[in-house]
Amino acid sequence: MMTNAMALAGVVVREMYRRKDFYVLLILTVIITLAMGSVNFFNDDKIVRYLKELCLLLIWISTLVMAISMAARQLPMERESRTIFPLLAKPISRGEVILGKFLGCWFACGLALLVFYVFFSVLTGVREHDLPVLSYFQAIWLHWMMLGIVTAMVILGSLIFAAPSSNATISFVVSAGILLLGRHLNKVALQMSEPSSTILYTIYYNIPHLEIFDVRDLIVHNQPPIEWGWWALATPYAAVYIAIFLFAACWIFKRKSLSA
Amino acid sequence: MKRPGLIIFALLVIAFSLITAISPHQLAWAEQSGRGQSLVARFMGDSREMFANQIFAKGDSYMHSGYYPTIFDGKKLHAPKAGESAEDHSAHKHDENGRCLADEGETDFLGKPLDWIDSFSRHFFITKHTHLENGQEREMLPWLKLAAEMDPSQVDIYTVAAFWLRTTVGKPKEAEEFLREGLRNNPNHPELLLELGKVYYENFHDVDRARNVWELAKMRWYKVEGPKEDADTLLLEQIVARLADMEYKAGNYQNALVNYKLLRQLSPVPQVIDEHVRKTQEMIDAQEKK
Amino acid sequence: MQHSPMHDGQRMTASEPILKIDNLRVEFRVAGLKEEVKVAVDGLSLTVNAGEVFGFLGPNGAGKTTTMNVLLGFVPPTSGSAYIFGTDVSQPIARQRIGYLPELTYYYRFLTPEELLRFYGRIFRIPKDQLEKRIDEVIKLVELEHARKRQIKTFSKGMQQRIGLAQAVLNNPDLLIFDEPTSGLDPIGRMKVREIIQRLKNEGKTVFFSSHEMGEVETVCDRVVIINQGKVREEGQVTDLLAKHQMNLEQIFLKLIGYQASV
Ligand SMILES: Nc1ncnc2c1ncn2[C@@H]1O[C@H](COP(=O)(O)OP(=O)(O)OP(=O)(O)O)[C@@H](O)[C@H]1O
Ligand SMILES: [Mg+2]
Repeated sequence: MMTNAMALAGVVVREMYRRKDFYVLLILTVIITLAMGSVNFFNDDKIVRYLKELCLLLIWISTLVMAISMAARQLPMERESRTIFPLLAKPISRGEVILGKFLGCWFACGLALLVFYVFFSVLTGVREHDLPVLSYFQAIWLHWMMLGIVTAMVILGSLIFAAPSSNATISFVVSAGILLLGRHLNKVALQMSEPSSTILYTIYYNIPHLEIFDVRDLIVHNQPPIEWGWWALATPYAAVYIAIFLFAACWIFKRKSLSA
Repeated sequence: MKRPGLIIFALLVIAFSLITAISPHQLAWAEQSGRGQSLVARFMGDSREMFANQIFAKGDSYMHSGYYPTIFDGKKLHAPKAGESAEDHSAHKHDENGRCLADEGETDFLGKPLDWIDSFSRHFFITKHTHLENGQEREMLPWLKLAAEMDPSQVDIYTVAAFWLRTTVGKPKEAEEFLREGLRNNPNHPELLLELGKVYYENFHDVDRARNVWELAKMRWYKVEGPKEDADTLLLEQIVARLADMEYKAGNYQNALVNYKLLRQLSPVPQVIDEHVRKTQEMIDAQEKK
Repeated sequence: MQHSPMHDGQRMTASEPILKIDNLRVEFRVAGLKEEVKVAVDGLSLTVNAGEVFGFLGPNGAGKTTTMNVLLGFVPPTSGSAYIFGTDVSQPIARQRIGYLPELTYYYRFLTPEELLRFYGRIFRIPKDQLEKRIDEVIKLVELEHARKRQIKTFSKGMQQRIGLAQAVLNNPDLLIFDEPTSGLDPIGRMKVREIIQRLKNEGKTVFFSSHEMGEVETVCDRVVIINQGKVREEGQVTDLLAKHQMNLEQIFLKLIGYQASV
């Protein structure tokens, strides 16, 4: 099972580094960050937090865009170019195809994250003369877990929505919405009247809380690392949602007729 | 997705997110809006002001190391608070540290966790209230600069930035420059002049220039603020107090006396000022004896 | 999961059919104002024996690709059944020893032929050292040596078709299912495909392929079936058909699908 999935994941990762999207986003991030970094604020070259904040924001947007657009096109592309036929004619199950696509996108995101965070570390290392390796490690890991949830969600979406672009748009809005508002839904629900309050609570308790994985503020404001026990708990939390999305995707994909 | 499309999309997203990333912070100066003019100009003005407020709030959140309530936390921000900076003697509405939720009772805006998700997620964002210190206050300056670019008519931005620049950050020259920029956009604004005088007096120890600036500030106050119904007498009080103290220390007791007497009329606690008036009078008498 | 290739007590022997389709019916729902049901395959039965080259003929839209989609498990049959090596096609294990060439496929654009074949080879669990040797062989077979390190997105239609052929024979399968193997190929390419089919036959493989090219069918096939509108119109040894109808295969084909010359 893993051999097949990993073989397929390898193809996805190759696609990532042979396409130009990733480099475009990386270069855009680097250019904008460096441009902002060269702005002179009161002749003080020790100012760094605004730059960290901007750079992390760009990294988050870039990786989110990348993860979503990549995951959204995988299965539709297989069907459009018809490679799904020679693929499924081989001894590989549809579940393995879903798993392989997910792992491929996820690993590709992980690679991209490493590149992005290397740039970020160099930037802060140069400006701050400090490299809180543990905090950065925690942040990358959580970021990667978050992208795992998003990737799995988008792969499920690619089996539900007809057009990859609508899937990508909806996924982006949902992810950004959760990141910005997810944490506050309970407080909003508290102030609402009955039917809508229950609905909002239901949403609050069921969505994957992506914002938990967003620890940019801790990095920007040089906070100490998260307690390792709590940090470790975030991984199974992500795994549960990844598993739910992937199982749902398998279930739908297995029942899909694949003509034309 | 086609590649040019992707780039445009990415740029849009960046623009959008820059706004939304800042926007959850509560609006601060709603009361200051609109100074007549056409509807369009007013709308434009309002949105600029809103932007500037967001960015200013961002700077403020930096001051508190990111521990900052959002609109959802339902706490009023920027409640003017008595200052923390020791060098200010009068109750100071526009105190540099003033736009601050930092009074102890209010720091716990988070409250108790409402549910397990809430309490779990609190391990992943900033829940400790700390302040920038020892010159780290510089970290909030880019946001203030940006806010001033957005809405140059908000003088508080200049005064707050200048305060940190001339004190802990140790860049009085940049403070002067920034205040001058503020004065170019708000000619002869008494608040800016007050702050500029502080730079001259406290950092450059240049009594003459400080006096010029503060006297001008006083004059401008009477011209601009005086006729208003809700005139900012606190500001005048500060200007006069500064002038009086400076003149006293410089040995110009006559000038000091004039200003202390004025201050006594303004002050809510005239008894305290009486003491100064008495001491100044003594000095004048002693001088005359010689 | 069914591990033995036995089904309904039938034992696989050399004389047992390798491919068996039994009264197959496939319907598609065509979404429209009122939902219509389109019958793509209608009561189709056929058997292919070991070592045969079997031509699956029919005009456009006859139901050839649909039938193959059922054989490979892409489309569930509405009714009827199909077996490969005696195993129901709904079981993934049925696909272990087959090679499939789909019609009109654009392989992963960002891979080179080598990488593509390596990927498929891993799924077939071909050991690494053997795989490299096998990749050299099949690339040579389809004459893509000059382009083996180029990304597939730079390939012409015919070159794509050749990669398809290469991946279909990669695992040295016992049964080959080709959907219009010569489409998009130049005359030399077609000749080459015919040679490949001939060679596979000589190696004892079974080939089941669809085509509208009567000339090539006549030269390589042992047996053919001609279908139209999802139904079998004629079936038999090529030599028998030629003798029975006293005309060439193309004329037989046109007659069976009801074509009247307008000139
Ligand atoms: N997904 C589908 N939905 C509806 N109808 C379909 C679908 N797939 C195929 N059909 C119909 O089924 C019939 C058989 O199609 P099929 O592709 O099997 O033909 P074919 O014999 O392969 O033709 P060709 O020689 O053109 O490849 C056609 O009428 C086609 O319109
Ligand atoms: Mg076809």
